[in-house]
Amino acid sequence: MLFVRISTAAMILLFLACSPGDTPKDQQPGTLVEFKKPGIPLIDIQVLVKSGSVDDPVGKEGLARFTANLMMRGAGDRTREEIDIELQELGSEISVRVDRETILFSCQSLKENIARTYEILSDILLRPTFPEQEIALLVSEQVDDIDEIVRDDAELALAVFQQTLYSGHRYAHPTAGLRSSVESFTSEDCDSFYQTHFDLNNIIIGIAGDYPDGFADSISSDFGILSAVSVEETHQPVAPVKGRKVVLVEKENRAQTHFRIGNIVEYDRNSSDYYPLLVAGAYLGQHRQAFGRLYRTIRSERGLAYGAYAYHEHFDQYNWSKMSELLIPWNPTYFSIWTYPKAVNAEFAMKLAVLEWSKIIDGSIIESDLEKTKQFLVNHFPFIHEMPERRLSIEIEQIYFDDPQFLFDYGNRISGVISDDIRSAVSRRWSADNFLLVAVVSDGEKFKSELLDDTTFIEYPSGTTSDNLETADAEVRAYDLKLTADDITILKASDLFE
Amino acid sequence: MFLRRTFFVTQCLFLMGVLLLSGVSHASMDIGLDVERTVLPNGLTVLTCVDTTASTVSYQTFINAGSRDETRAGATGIAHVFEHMMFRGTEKYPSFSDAVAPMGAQTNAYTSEDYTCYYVNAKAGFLERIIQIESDRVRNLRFTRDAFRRELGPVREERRRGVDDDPGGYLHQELYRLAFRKHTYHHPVIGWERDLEKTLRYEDAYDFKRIFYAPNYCMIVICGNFDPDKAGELILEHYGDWKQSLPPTSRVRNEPVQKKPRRRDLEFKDTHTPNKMLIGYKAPDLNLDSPDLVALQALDNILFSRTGRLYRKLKLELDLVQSVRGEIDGRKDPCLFVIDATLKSDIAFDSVVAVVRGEIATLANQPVSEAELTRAVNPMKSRFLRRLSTPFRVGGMLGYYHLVGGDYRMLFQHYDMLGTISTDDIRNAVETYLTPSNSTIVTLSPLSEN
Repeated sequence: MLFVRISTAAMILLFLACSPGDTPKDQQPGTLVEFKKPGIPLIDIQVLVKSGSVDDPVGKEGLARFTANLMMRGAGDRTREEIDIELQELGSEISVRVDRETILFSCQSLKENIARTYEILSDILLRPTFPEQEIALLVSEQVDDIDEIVRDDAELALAVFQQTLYSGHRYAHPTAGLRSSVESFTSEDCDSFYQTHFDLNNIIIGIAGDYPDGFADSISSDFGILSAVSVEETHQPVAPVKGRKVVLVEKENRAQTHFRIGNIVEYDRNSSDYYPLLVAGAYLGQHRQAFGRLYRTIRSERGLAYGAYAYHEHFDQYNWSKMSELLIPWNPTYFSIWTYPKAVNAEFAMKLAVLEWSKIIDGSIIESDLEKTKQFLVNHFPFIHEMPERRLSIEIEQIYFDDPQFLFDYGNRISGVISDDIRSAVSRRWSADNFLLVAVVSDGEKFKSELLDDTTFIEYPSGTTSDNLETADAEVRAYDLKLTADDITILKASDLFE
Repeated sequence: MFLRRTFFVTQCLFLMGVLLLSGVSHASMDIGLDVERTVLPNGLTVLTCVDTTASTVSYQTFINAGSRDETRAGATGIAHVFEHMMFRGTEKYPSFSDAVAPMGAQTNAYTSEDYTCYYVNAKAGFLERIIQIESDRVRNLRFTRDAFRRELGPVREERRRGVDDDPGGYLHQELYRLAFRKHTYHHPVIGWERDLEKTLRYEDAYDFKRIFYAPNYCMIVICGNFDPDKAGELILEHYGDWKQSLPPTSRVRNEPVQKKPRRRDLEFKDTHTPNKMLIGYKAPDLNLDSPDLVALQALDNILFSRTGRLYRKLKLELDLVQSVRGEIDGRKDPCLFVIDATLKSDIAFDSVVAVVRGEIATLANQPVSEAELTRAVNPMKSRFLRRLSTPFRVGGMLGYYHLVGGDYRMLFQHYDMLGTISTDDIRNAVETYLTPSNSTIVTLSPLSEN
């Protein structure tokens, strides 16, 4: 058998027996992780391919996503329509998500229908036909996806932030690609991408739920037909932004200003700085939580924005929850701050955000708030893996990151972080003197002038500030972003992602 | 938590002889949730659903009032503004966030047209602490004029994000504005911009709280891993002496029967927005005595799933739309079956309307097949079950059916009806509701170059 099989219980033993860096995925092709949960007649299957838009060939930006979606539109003897009809009859779902470093196929089925559902899934993954007749439609849909980025200001600010931060790097383009590249895709392009990346050495399969005995063996056997050659890893370093750079994206008649501030952070899960920075990010602005410094100062105290958050690494919101998607590793990743005040208050909010960020970098940490943040993170952890599909993703993440103790150690790792660890990590990894700021504004030249002049306006929703904020607000107003005209670039939204 | 196929009736009496109980347990043949309902003498309803296999507990406080209950002109959005106020702290817990953060709780709230929900989900074992905090919050909120004015800031920003700068949100606002003339579904949950910026008063929020934040308008739903007896004692301790309120003096007006089609063509404020349109047909409320609502929900799939009739025609055959989908939720009062389409560039709105109307007319001559019905219903069943996969999700579902439909057991009834809905039910629903005279169309074009 080509597969390393890991059940959750067995996995612990297996990895305990291995020295760090000497993990099964390095030794044998194919990894399958099981998470058996009898009693619930639902089954989840996830197939992670350790390739993504970073592997899009030059001039073929968006190909990974296109290939994965085209696989869903013709496989084995089935056409797209036949796949869709059969899945609906079964009440089953198969979907795919492509990120920079990963392609994740997810399948959900009732236990009673797992045999037929798996047959379709295995055809999609092992016998895709890349039908020519589906190309035009999929091209059109993927171009629409690119246009959608421009339509949503939050997405637009983030996409331009990523594009600028990773300029010259294979992370720069959105997973949907560029309009010109997408229109060039052919069936042969997809087949070539598939042959290169859908390789036993490059996938992790996870199954969870009340799956039948022998199911894992069948999967191992079926996927054994994939080739098992080494897929070239393509880690490409990128230099962080030096100094303070601003990109203003012009879009007409904006009532509010979405902006991102941050920089590249070159570290990963196994770095000793990972957990200190995770705690520091949560302390500064855990996503959709009111205890973060940014939320308190921007929203609760001043009412300037609906939300204000910080992310110590790449974050993609999971459905409508407050959690991030799983299995979206970026290496190198990036730190960022996001908020969206009324346009007239944008400059003040930018200064306030940078100031709050600077305070942590300068070592100013309120111990009681830090303790609260750590308690939150530790006690919140059950929700991260409460849903069966997320638990399965975490099982796969443990393999991906060579971190088999993650589920068991997470609490200790967070609890063990002290303020000195944070001071030390942020002094190494964060710098408020070096960042990229991207904002979506109505009039780029006008906003540029506002950033460069000496005045900073603030309009309080309640008409006035609280007495106890007057001094703090004066400090914010006086804060110098130290920008020159050369630091500020203006782009038009309509010109992007061509 | 589900599909245990248990079927029993027990009653957990919180404190025998002290509480007025209408305790009822119910489990569907397919959905093995054991739900108990208790009503305190002051009118507070409590639903509990224990799952000892869960690692968490979900505590949800429902207020039986939403934007539907905003009857004073100039005070739209007050239900939602008040939801924001509820995070401003009390004397005992000056910072709500500081009180709940150490528990690692998932906490938030949402306001709908029909009700408002506050939830705190935490590791099993924190329930007592949650009840202390949540009972104090709903009863003893610190509610100052200054805090009210400050909280309007984030609310206005929420509106700018979801409506003023968002073409989809803006178009939905305009659809309901046009479709409803008397009923309060006319205005958006977030409130009119004018009201949020100018006319909403502290006194509106105060009145809203005085009437609706009372036990006779409140329901507690607890799901997950907890001791129901202990929970009952705590509920009684913390809510038992909460006084009822008098009902509002104004009432929600009925929407007159629509007799003619309505249409409004609008232009958005930027050039990046594609042509978008919504077609709304008046549709039934959440009343499962009739199969109409479930039939229309199945029809949504029959028309707009990836194998759906209108999806195929509009997108695959005629290439008129980028995307098209349907949406229909049961509400307290009759609402809308909405078709939401984003058009390809240079496609005229009327050509999409013609195809939609033609296909709906065809449903009378070319009825839905059993195969189509199966393809529509089976995914609905699966999704229904998956929506019960965590204590939080179960609590949300129970609260929805009990407040909107009047009885949490409609959850089971709704699921069971997915197995009995027929092609005749669908034809009847189409003939009753999807008529041109019952339709409202709003279209949105990008900002014109000149």
